Amino acid sequence: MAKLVPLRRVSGETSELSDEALLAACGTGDANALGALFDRFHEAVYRFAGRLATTDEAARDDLVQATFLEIRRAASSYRGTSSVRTWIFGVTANVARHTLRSERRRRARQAKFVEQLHAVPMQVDESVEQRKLLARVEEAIADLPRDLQVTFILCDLERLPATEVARVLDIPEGTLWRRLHTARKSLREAIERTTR
Amino acid sequence: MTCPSEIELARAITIEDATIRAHVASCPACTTSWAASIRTIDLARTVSVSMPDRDRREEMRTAILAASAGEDDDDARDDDARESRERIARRRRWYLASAAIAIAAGILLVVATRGTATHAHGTIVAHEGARYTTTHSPDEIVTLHDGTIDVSVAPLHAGERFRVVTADTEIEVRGTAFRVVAELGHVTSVVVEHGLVEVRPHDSAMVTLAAGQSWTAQVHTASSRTPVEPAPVEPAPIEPEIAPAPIEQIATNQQAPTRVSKAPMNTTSPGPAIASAPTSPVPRASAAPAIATSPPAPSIAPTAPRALDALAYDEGWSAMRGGDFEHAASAFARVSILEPDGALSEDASYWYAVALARAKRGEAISAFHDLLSRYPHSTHSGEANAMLGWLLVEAKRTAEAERRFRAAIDDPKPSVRESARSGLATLRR
Repeated sequence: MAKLVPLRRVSGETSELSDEALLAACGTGDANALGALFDRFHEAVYRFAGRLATTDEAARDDLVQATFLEIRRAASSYRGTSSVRTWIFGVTANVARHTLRSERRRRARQAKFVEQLHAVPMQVDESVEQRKLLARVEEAIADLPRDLQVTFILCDLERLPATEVARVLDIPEGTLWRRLHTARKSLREAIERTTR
Repeated sequence: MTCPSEIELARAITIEDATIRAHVASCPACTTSWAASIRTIDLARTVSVSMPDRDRREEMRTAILAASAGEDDDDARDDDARESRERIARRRRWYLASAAIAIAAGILLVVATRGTATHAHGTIVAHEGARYTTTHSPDEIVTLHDGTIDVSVAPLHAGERFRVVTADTEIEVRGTAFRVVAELGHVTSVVVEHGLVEVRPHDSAMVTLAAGQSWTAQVHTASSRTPVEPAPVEPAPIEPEIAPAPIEQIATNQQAPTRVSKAPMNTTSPGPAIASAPTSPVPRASAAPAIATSPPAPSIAPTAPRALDALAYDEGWSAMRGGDFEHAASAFARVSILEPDGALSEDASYWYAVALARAKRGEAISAFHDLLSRYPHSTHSGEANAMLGWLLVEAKRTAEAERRFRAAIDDPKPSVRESARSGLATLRR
């Protein structure tokens, strides 16, 4: 067996680097930086992906993995016009556009089954009503067209600055406000139908 | 003012617009629309999103890093194919550029005939025809594509990991030497020379191998693979004197029991963690928290077969008593790797940090951070905050040191409170 070599110590530098510095290091192919970015942002990406891919855990995992690999590829293109967090959400949205089409089809196939479940008489109490309402909201978010869905999640749920969101989605701010309005209106109508 | 358009209203909900908000406050129609939108947003925010558990996140992290390394591998192969079509002069230039890129990327592609490569954590000896790629420390992943490699890994420390992965198996090690054989991306066998190795086939249960043990995949297809269980580790009864010792036992190995005192002995190195060391800067009181009040270590029935994590825990304590703090840290780290949610994990995490501090290792700070983040309500949190405070004083990170001392100032243990007060007094000076 070969002789051991001394350890090369890395005394936690990656945890002390700014988001921008980590992304820059990632852009040079630094695997440690990619790992650190995952540690720092995976919860946010999982949450975003979970809202986009609501019926299939595997689809969500695929999206998260594809997102971080894309982050590594695209890191050198980051220009600092938005926060790294917003930029990563933008990458996730772009990846989702390409990878989640089949998820939508799958959801359509499952819709009938879900309707059957909802048709089962339930004991009505406040918590059940609330759960039903939240399930309806979740479903309504999932049913939004992808552009509206992404805008609503980023602006209203993740509370990212609208100007940055418009920039990473590459749309004019006016378009962003229109999408946001349409998304909120659709959701509001869905909720009203449930509570009526 | 006339009612704003719906889109203007949508914008005003997100961005402060005093004019529109003033209008909304006085217009019943706009108030209704505004309130409905706010309620919609609030409801949507209450929808919970399920998050993956810790194991799944780890799998994902590993998969991403391995895939990332694999992409570099593919890129290199593509470049090789292109290069073969170029002229010799250009080929030479390309090689130089590729090497620079590979170095910058921290990724090394090895298509070995036979040879030894040294890496951040140890040495890889590739047998004839072995092919593998590696990522660099602290999370080192060797992606074995084909062939046989012998791996020697030095003891790892805070935040460092070493794994060998193939398409169907992940092997995690911590200070050990072993051989892995793979065919076309599938592990066929693992032989451990010394130390501990976890073999995690994607399609079957994890197997932990100790020195001299081996694991063989009998057939290469996932459905028929049957791992060979390692021989059980020899059960060893727990002897009371080997059971986790209160820290004063270590202290008395170094020097006579100390009297509580507020006066630091010097001002150059952290105290509590190295409380008993003669050169400790820390008020001796800071040693006391752990000395006087450490809760008894988890007890294990004397007749029960010893689990690997318990053996590692004992090993850590033996090393502590012998003054081999590096070894102790490695052993305590192994406890958390073997049983991250086990009964010993919290204590081991604490003693791991203490051992690093006593070994005067810079990683002690992050180890204490990890402990306090993972076990915010640990029975050791007072001691840990005080010790961390002293380490931060030495590192001249006074703002955080002050926060740590303040976190320990109301600890139920008098000695911890005393240490924290001394720390704050030191900072004021």
